Amino acid sequence: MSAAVVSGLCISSGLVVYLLNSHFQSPGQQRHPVAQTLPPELLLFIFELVSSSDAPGIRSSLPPLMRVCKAWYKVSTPLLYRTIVLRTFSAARSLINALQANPQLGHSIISLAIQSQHKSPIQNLISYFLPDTGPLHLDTALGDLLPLCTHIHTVALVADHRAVERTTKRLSLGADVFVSAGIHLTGLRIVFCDISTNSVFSAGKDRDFPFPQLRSLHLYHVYLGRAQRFPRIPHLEELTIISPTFGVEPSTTSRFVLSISQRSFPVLGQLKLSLSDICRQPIVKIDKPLVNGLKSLDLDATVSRDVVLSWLDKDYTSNMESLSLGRQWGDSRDISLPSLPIKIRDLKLAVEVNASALTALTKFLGSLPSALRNSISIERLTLESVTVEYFHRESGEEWVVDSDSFKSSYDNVIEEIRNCCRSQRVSFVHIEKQEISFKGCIRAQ
Amino acid sequence: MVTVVVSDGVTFTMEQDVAFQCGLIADFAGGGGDQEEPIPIQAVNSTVMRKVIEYCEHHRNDPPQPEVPEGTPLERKDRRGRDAWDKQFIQVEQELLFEIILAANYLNIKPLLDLGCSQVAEMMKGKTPAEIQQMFNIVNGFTADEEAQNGEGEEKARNLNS
Repeated sequence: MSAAVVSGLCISSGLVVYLLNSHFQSPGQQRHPVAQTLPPELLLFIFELVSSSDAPGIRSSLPPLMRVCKAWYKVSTPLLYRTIVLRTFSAARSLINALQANPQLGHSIISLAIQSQHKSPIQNLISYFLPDTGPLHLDTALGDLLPLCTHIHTVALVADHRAVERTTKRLSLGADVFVSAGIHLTGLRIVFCDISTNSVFSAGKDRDFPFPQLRSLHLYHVYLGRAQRFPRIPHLEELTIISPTFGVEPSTTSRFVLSISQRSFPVLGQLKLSLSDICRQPIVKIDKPLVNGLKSLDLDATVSRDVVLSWLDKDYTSNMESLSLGRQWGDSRDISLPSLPIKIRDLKLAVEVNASALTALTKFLGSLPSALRNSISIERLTLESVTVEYFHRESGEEWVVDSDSFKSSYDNVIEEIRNCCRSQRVSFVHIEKQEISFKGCIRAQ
Repeated sequence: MVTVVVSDGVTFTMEQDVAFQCGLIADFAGGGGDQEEPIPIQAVNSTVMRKVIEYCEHHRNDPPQPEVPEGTPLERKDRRGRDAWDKQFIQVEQELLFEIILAANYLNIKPLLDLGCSQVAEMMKGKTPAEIQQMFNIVNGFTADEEAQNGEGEEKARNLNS
């Protein structure tokens, strides 16, 4: 009897051991499949993490992963084709060959960047004898490639504006093909482009924008027309326009107006404008409904009075979380700084913190309706390129400052900003300082 | 309070804010009131669940993560910074690491999944195929022909991105 009990106990404890084994030991016993049993989507995620620090288009960390085992090869190959950067003819040709041999790979390409430049006569001569090494013509490359990349989302074109003009025409033709196949371009990034003459961007009543599904549009070093309006892009969420900073031959020398309206961009959430074209002094017009919808605004340009008025409007219901005002904002100093959105996470100001800028800051904080002031909270105030001037007010002579008073005046400025905020009962959690510089002369002791 | 029962029959009871970091449990409990019945979690055992709860308890007061739209490039995602505690927490044996990843995936705990996968990614970075095979005990299973093709493929890839 007692033996039976004991054996029964043995069995049950054996069972316990078995159960423990199955839960705690089994991965150890069949060690090798552990990494291989990860579902493909997790493997893909890990591979993405491994290659995330690679430079775009150079997936140098992927080839070793591809050679680990068959399963990994299968998962990592599409990743290799996800973002493609093409610079030469030979690269374009080997890509086209690879895609024709294995059309499945074309489905993996979601982002394609083509970098090209206008050929100089010498380059023309070289590429006549060595066609493979020549720079890429955007339009030739795209014409052959796009039909093979059936799942492409984003296209980046880097070239001089004449090449881009030809290519965007081609793109607009290609877009029709994609739209009829149910494929839409959602991202477009163009470097060097004259958008005033480009057929894709000239707003026409008779013609729709060829990429209606576009979510993000980034235009770098673009030339703007005298009165630039955009076609209607119904789903655009992100817009960046950066004008050339130097070496420009503007098509007009008069002032020009850039209009950004809700009619063109009904769902725009992020807007970044950096227009540093000094000769033409661009004026930006942003209409009230559009400002109301913005989540993030990064503005380095002279804005028209309307923009400021729309901020000061009592109907202004802001969704803005991040506001960055660039240096050129200072040029609009005569129209005091806008009253700020109520809940803002990041405020970045690139102002010259001298007497007048401090006045402006005080004025802007003071311009807030007193009922709002208590509810305003700005998590982070970043002051970029703060400049403190040491000039004698009357004569314009430079003050000579010793390094101690230099340091203390630096601290004074920050303290003054803090006091200013405090007196206006605006709370800042952080004040970050970047590139703080001082004009004037320092005499070391 | 929320009670769960895992694959080896162990039950765990935890505060709602700890439990609801698991998307699966939050979905299951439906967001309202105390759960009477323990929630069965068959895909996770008690060792792993203990680790998961440890993580959730440590991060219970974290602010909610902003929604990142699908398809955002990894570099641009505002990822939860890995603090010293996280780094220490994820220093576990390989088997347990992979089990934590699978559990985080199953339970839908995005930050823990990120942490586990980043750890594996770190382990792989800069390693040769042979080193990775040895580290994870993987049999490559390529035939000689396929090996040769692999070489060609790499060559192609290199050309493409040159």
